[in-house]
Amino acid sequence: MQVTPYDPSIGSLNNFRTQGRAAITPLHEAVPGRLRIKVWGLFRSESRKTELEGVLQNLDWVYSARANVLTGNILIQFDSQVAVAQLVAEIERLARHGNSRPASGIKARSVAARRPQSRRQLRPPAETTSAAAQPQAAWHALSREAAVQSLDSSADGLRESIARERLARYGRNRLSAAKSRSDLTLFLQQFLSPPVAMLGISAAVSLLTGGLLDAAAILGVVGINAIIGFVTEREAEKTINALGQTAPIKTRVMRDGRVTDIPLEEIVVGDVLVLTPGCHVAADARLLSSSRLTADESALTGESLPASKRADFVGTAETPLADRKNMVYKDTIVTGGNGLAMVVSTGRFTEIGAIQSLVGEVKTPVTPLQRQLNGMGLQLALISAGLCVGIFGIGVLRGQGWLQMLSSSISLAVAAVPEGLPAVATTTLALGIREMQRQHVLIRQLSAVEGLGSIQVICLDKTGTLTMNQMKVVTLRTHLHELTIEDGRFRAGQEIIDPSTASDVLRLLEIISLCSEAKLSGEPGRHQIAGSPTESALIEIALAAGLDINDLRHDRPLVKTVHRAENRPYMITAHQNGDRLLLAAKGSPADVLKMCRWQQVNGEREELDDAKRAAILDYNDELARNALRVLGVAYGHADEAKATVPNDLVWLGLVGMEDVMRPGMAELMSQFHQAGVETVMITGDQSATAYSVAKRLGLSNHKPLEIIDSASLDKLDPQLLQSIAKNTSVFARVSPAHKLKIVQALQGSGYVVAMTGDGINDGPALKAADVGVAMGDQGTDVARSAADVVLEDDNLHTMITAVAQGRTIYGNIRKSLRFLLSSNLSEIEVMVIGTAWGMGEVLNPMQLLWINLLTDIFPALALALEPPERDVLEQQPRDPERPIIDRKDFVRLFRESLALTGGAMGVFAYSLRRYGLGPKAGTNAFMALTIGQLLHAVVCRSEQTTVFNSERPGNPYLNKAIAGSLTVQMLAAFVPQLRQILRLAPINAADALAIAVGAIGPMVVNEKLKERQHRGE
Amino acid sequence: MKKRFFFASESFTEGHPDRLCDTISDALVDEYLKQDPYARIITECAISKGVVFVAARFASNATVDIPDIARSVITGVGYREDDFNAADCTVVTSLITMPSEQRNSTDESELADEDIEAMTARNQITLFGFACTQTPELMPLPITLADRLAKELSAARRNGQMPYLSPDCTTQIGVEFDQGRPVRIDNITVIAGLQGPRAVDAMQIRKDLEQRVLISMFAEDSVKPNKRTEIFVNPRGVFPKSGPASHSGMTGRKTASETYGGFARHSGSALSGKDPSRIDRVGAYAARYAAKNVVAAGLAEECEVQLSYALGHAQPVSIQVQTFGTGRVSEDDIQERLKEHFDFRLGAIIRDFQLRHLPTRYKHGFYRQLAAHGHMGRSIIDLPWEKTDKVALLR
Repeated sequence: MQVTPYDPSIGSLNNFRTQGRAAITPLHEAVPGRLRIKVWGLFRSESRKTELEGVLQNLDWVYSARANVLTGNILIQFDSQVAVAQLVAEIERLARHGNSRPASGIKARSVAARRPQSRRQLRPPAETTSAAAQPQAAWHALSREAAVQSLDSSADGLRESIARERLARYGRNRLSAAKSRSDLTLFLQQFLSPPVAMLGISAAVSLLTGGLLDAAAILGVVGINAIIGFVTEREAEKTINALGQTAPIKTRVMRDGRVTDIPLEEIVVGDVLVLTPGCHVAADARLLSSSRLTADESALTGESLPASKRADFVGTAETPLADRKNMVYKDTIVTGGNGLAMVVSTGRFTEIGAIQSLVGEVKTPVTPLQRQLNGMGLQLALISAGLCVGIFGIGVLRGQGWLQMLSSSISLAVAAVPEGLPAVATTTLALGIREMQRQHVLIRQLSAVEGLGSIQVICLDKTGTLTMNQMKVVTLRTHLHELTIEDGRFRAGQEIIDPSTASDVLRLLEIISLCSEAKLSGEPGRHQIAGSPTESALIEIALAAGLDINDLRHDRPLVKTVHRAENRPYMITAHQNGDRLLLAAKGSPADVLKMCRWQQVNGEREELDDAKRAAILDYNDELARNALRVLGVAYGHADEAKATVPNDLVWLGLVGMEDVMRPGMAELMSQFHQAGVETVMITGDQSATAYSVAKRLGLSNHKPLEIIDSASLDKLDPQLLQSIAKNTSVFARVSPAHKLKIVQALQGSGYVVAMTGDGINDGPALKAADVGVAMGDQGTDVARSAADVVLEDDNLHTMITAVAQGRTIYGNIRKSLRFLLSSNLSEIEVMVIGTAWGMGEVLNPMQLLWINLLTDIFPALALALEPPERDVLEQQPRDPERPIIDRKDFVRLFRESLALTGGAMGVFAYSLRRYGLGPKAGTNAFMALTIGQLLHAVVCRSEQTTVFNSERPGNPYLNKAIAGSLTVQMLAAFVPQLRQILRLAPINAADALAIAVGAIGPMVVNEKLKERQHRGE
Repeated sequence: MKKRFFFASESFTEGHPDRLCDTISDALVDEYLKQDPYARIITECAISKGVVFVAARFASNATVDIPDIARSVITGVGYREDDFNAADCTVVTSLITMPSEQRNSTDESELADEDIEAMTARNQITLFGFACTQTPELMPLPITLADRLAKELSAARRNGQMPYLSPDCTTQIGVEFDQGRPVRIDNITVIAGLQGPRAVDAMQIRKDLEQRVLISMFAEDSVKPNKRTEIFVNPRGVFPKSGPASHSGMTGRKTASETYGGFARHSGSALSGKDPSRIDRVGAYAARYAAKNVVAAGLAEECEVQLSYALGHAQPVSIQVQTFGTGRVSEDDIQERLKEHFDFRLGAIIRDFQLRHLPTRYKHGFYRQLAAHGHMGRSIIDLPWEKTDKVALLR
């Protein structure tokens, strides 16, 4: 038997044993003889499925076993006499050891499991492109050389010509464009709703009763409804389908032995990918070389911990996906290390492509709001259907013709159901997304729009979000000199000095130039520095002092580097200096000082005693207290590079740096506070620094400033963290990996949490947050792909606009809803009252449909386009638990509908008295109700301000919608043909006055009531 | 006077969570005063499991890394890392900045008498100071012994005589009194927190306690444990964990043991975590100073001085003296002499004891030493209110 150096099965089994995770989790066992169990390792593993099903079905007490690779669950029906425990034990055994090989796909439970799985798979499904089948092999089981050979490529990459040829043969590297619903389907679907079906029945009834014209009119209504629905929905769908497509468009490969950036879609089999931290893997690829490479494969495996990768691993054909250490997969992300990998498959031939075709069509995700609206729509439809049946019954009992009653109650049902409801929500969301894009806020998840409006806490990463993430050296302190640096000039007190005259300072600058990984390129005077912000700042200051760094580095070539690491807060480099080594050290002052025995004083070295050490540390504290990042610098000599920590270095001094704060942050914080959003800063700084920054920003909003200082939040009991995190404004000394804990703790205390981030480590926290916000420009691919919202201009100020927008969108949906519900209710009320009192049919079916057409569509859509209210950023965030229309709202809109009904019925009663039963009374009531409803749209513009309030911003769309609708209504009253269809009687001046009173009266009443209620609150 | 009675006082070693909280609070007071002698600073601290909560209100120019100070105190106490790790613990700080005019602008030593008079009490409180002839430092014997035993236990832990002890131990010593004089040690109780890899049985602890601690501790005393003295070690069994991992702590919960062990009255107000401008702290020191000088001057064997401060007054509104029938002169007489020779105004106390500048004078701080080693009687540093320099004036 061939023994491979890294047997995955052994490795993961050991893993399993030491970590002792449960291999299975029973999910549902309420029904005797039926059990649903989650089996780790089953997820996306067809072989596990076959194996588990096979073994279980062979047991004589199991009737059936069905495993699902998409959910990772198995459903078992078994003899209910058998104890569940026995079955569980059996499956546990299988899951651990399997029949043929140990369970190697056992996974840690995803820490970011808060989100439904479907949200990860926003990408549209694969469309079948005509492409030749790509070479297939168990690439992970091949050696590097064999793989390269069979891909007919080389470690230097493909030649351009071959790459072009392959691109033509195998097709582009994409999971194909969105195949959204075709226009025809979308249009046809407009007719497949219950209201339209009822209209069809109504048309049939009209035909039966000889009303050919009626039937035609009804069909016209259906057509118009469908066209409008189709147009708005298509636009909305376009916008929503474009969400989430912010994957990078270029990727780095080797071609012809050169590293170049090429469009992602042009990657072909045999290309060599250059993998660096934070980069998106463009296609499935076999590693050629790797150094401490790790990848986040959660998109593929659901495993949230990064998987470690190594080129020298060789698996077997059975090695499961998660254990193929020598492979990287499309749409996963490199979280650390680097490497080269040769592409083995692209596009839909990749693992992720296969999964997408497995899952089938990816539906546009439904947000909680849409779900709520759909539920409400159904409820309303049922209620109004009930009412219509009631009206039919009463009418028939009252002696009306049943056919006529049937037709009018169906029409009422159609008119009363706010069928535009889900469309209004989708359209509003889509329009909001577009509006935000205009303001450089990219929405990646539809639900984020709602989330933005309900944010209660925003966690801000200090570095990169509040600050520019650009360090600047502001002070240097050696034993003799205390220099401040401004605009590249060195000052001692007020005096500008030349640093090259101070030998200790010069030495210090030399050491920080040597002990650095920052690369320097370009001509003197126009240098370009590539490196971490800290090292770049150090190099910059050395250049400012006139040091020739290239020369220096050339003279003292680097021999060895000891990197900063956990538990080693410093970096040491060894350089050849004649036949000895020069050691250069920089890092945490306390730790660097511990390695020192001497200090440099004017070129001489002087032994350090306790007092001198204390003085240095006091200096350090002083700088740190002023919110500076402080590094200690030391040097020494050695005969050879040893592994031991040196203890006889010479202390040179301290360098104080600061991260430049973005402008206007304090004002922004107070804007957030005014909007009821609490601000939390997360920083790796020590408490004193964090305090001074928080104070400057006014983070605590005039409340006591609470700071949690902990380097090991993971060791804290989550419940405890939850309770202390509640009023905290600052988390200090936090490592990025612990951000997730903070988000979870805040969510645990019931907050809706937004989180900003841009680093590789921020992924899980961004995913877990209700609204994950990534910086567009500086952020890494990981952060961007995990975020719900991307601020394209890296400007946090945009966030407050996004919050305002989110709130406005939600508010506008509420406004439309309120309008739709109250106006439709009034129609029902008019009909119920008329029929119950034996006043006959107040409105005929045609009139009802007319109202439906005129008021339900354009005014409701226009309300969805309301501009933000003035005080939108002074209101408290909405309670996420509160339904979009709660009992209080319902009482209010019922009251409003009664006012509308009152107006119409008043006119009806007046006309009855004057003209007796006949078309005259119905006409007047119809006119009053329609105009009253149109004016009611104005009432629905705000929950606080009224039409009497002249300062509120106008809504031109609504003005146009109302003006247009009123014109059409006038046409109905005066154009004979329309009048005939609607069976309207002519209107005289006295009627017009009555109609005006009946239409305007309800608006005045409703606005006055709103004013009074608002004042009362 | 009662003929015969027993009295027991308890004390705690430095790692007891309540005492730890007091020490952290006072270490912060030290740090603020070191950087800014005129700082106003009030801190309170609570500890539970791995979380240290510090609330601070201040008006100061100083910038203090509060978690850093808290961690350094915890590290100094000497818990094993598995039990309570300074680096791993979470420090929650709640900070309130007071308006800068709350900060003192001038030194009390430079103030004229009118200005001292204008510095009125900001808190209303009645304070007590006590002294008696039971020990050379003129403190009640039970608390003195309990404190001394706690210190000896800490020393035994540090010097390896009882390495298994944790920094969290509680001591209690019961003393029998006859005619007001201590005559016998009735009982000695030690609740010993344990830490370390191996379990230690109670017999071993008891043996070590008797042989390595008690013998030397009482070597120079006239009242010593005898055969009838009962010694209890962990009478209710050993706690599986000690320190903050097993019980929580808070500033100001050990006011009896930091004053007179319950033998005399005390105000009940916490002493730790307050800067010198708090009369409820420094008044207690002034009252002790007065009482001790009265006893040292031989005016009485036992003396309790009561000072009542009211808002808006610099002088205490009431100064009362009780000598419990041991006075050589009348209580009224002593009271008059105190009024004449002691200045109990807030500003004067700060000035006379130099309370703003003491933290800079001691390398390891001043107030945190009080919290860790006792506010009254003998401490590891010389306390200004323990001086008997007014004896001649009182006689």
